[in-house]
This record gives sequence, C-alpha cells and structure tokens, in this order.
Amino acid sequence: MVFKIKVEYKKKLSKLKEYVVLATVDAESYQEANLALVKHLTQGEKIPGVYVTLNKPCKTMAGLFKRSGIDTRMILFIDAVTKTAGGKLEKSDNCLYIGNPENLSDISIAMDQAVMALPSKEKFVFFDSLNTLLLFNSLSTVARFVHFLASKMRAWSVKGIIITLEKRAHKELIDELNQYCDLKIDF
Amino acid sequence: MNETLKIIFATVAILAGIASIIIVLGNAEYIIASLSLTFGVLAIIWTLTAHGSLSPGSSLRSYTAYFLACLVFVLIYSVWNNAITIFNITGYLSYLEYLFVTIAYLLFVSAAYKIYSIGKEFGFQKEAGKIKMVMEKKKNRR
Repeated sequence: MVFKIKVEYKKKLSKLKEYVVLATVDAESYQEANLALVKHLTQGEKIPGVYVTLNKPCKTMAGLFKRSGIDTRMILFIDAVTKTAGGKLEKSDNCLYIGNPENLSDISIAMDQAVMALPSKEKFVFFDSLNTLLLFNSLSTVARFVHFLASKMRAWSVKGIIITLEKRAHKELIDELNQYCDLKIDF
Repeated sequence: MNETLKIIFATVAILAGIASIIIVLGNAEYIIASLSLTFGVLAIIWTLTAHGSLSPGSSLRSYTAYFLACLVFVLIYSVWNNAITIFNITGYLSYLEYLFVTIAYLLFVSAAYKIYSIGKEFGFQKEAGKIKMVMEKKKNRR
C-alpha cells in the first residue's frame, strides 16, 4: 500500500508545491492509506500540517501515528469527534476539540487559525473524512463545505488532501466535488 | 466587470440616500442622527445575516449574538437620545438613555470576553512555536 501511494505521489503530485486532492479509498485500506499519506508528508516531504479528524478521536489517531513512526509533533490536530463537556471547545497539547462534527463554522475557523500558525512555507491539510461529514450534514451542506474548503486550501497555498471512502451512494457527490479539486486519486 | 458595476451602483445609491436625507431634513442635528441610525440599522442587518449563516452552537455565532445585542442597545440609546431632543422629553424618562448606554457597555464587555475566549480556544501560536522548535532541531541534526 505504501509503495502504491508513493508511486501515485511521484507520478502525479511530486512536481506540485500546492494542490487539492480528493483521495478515495476503500474501507479495508482506509487506515493504511491515511497513515501512508501522512507519513509521506511529514517524513518524506518533511512538512508540518493540520490533521482534521471526524472519524477517530485525536488520541487514537496520535497513537496510530506514533506506532507507524510518524512524528506527531509536526501535526496540529482538530478533533470534531470527541464529545466535550457541554459541547464546548477544549484544547490540550496539540489538539483542539470541537466537540461536534455538525459545527462546520468552528471547524473552518480552527483550520484557518491552525494553518496560519504553522511556521513553514510548505504545509499540509489533511481532512479525514468526507463520508463522516455526510453522516452529520446534508449533501448540499457538504458540497458547499468542500467547495469552501478547496478554495481555502488554495488561498492557504497548502498541500490539501480530502479523504473519502469510495461509496456508490455518494458517487454523484464525489463526481461533483472532483471539479473543485486538482486531482482525484483512488487508493 | 459585474463587481465594479455593483460597487458603482451601491456608491451612487448611498450618496443619493445621504443627499436626500440632507435635503429633506435640513437641520444638521437631525441629519447626523438619521445617518447614525441608518448605519446602526445596516450594522444590525449584516450581523443578523452573519448569525443566520453560522453553524448553530458555534463560537462565532455566539459572539455575533453578543455583538448583535450590543448594536441593538446602542441603537436604542441613539433613538432615545434623539427622541429626547426632538420631543423635549424631560423628567425621569430622560434618564432612560443612561440605562440603555450602561446595558450597551455591559454587553460590549461580555462580547469582548467572548472574543478573548475565542482567541484562547482557537489560538495555535504556542503549539506552532513547538513545531518550529522540532523543525529547527531536525534541521540541525542533518
């Protein structure tokens, strides 16, 4: 899997300094693909970034990253899955807990602040994942959010990756979102 | 081109509005009062629109609610202040303006505290400093 991702990267993205990629993965290779992509960005390209998680709590992701040899000190986490007391925002170490995946306004502000704070010209934004966003928001809201996210990623001049599970039910949405992104990679 | 046209039309409309207020009212005090109210109402409309577009329960939406309350009380104060001048209101009713302005300031303090909390919650400067240190260490090691 790691090898496959690296080949894809080298082939399609190595020449680009900034991009917005819609990465579609199947359920079985979802975790592997996530880890390989983040590892490639933090270790291969040695750039810091923002990881937005809507799937697994920040602590779980950080643990997974550490076990895969990823330096989590290079990543700012935005966690919209862990429930916080009273649904309020909380911050600990390098993770900001939003408390609610429906709260797209706070997710957007948090991403903006985190990206702007990163002390590097080259940085990445990893959005995990689009299909989870669909569980909590309507199709039109998600489509509008991704359009906003893609244009923001361009304005931030980052390497942006939006990951989604390949699902037939969302095929139309993925096709529509494809037009906002520079590239669609299937893993 | 469309945007430029929009800006030109909006500027002309604003200038025409200001000119008509000046012509109709004539009195400098009334003109200033009307213009202040117009801008106050515009600020409230924009804040209400922003409040409607933001996600329910979000920090920014809650801040806009505080800000909206501030604007409303500033506007009420302004209206009451003008009413006192126009209708020669005297007695205890004239003191109501102090109540309105005090409430407006208290709400401004609450809104300022809210934005202070938002700054603390969303600010990543400390964490970014740590990332910078890690990157420098890695650079030195090479």
